[in-house]
Amino acid sequence: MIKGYGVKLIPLQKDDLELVRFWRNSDKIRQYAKNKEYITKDHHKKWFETKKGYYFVVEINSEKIGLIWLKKHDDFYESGFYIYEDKYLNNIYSYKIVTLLHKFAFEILKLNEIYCEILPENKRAIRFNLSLGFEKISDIKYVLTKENFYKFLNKFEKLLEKY
Amino acid sequence: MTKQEFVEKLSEILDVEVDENTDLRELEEWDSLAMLGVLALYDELGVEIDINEMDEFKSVKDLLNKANID
Repeated sequence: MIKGYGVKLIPLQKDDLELVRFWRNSDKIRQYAKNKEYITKDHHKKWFETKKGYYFVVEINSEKIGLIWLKKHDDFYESGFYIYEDKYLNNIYSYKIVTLLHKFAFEILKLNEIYCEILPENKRAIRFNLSLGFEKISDIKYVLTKENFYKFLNKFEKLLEKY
Repeated sequence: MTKQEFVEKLSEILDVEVDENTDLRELEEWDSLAMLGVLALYDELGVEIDINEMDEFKSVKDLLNKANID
């Protein structure tokens, strides 16, 4: 488990699969997903057994609120997350959660960069990711270098700890 | 900090022109990035705030009141 800034990232376990599937199939999460198909129980189970990388259930105030991940591709990691619980949306919690994952990526896994994909219509996510230091490299693809991550961290970590 | 300076700073944070009567709830720009910016501004001004209060701000006037700026 990873802890920090009042947030816990708990490695995804079988027990939470149905909860995650419920979130993932909800309209509010599915609308911004690349794959908009309904996820069946079997499909979800297969994904869990074959997934590569790190997937965490996000917990705040003893409440499971969403999922965050570093998906492993052949030669890079792709980050992503969603928050299901509305009260944790569009506030500082998004920064706490993502910064905790990025610290894990750059300080524990010792990655030099991570990538993410955001659909062009998801303007809020684009603004959010640019503020974290991600740079656009194609229509939907963005990269965060270690250097840009530390620029963000040095500027905002005290606030993330304080609040 | 004067009211005008605060509103100017806020316009920079939100990346959109606002005045003291602006309703934050109507702004797409009033998002997590803006809230982080406001927290940084309050921190600079020595304003103590509970994180949950951020959800209760409805207008620029509310933000000014929290900072005790008339």
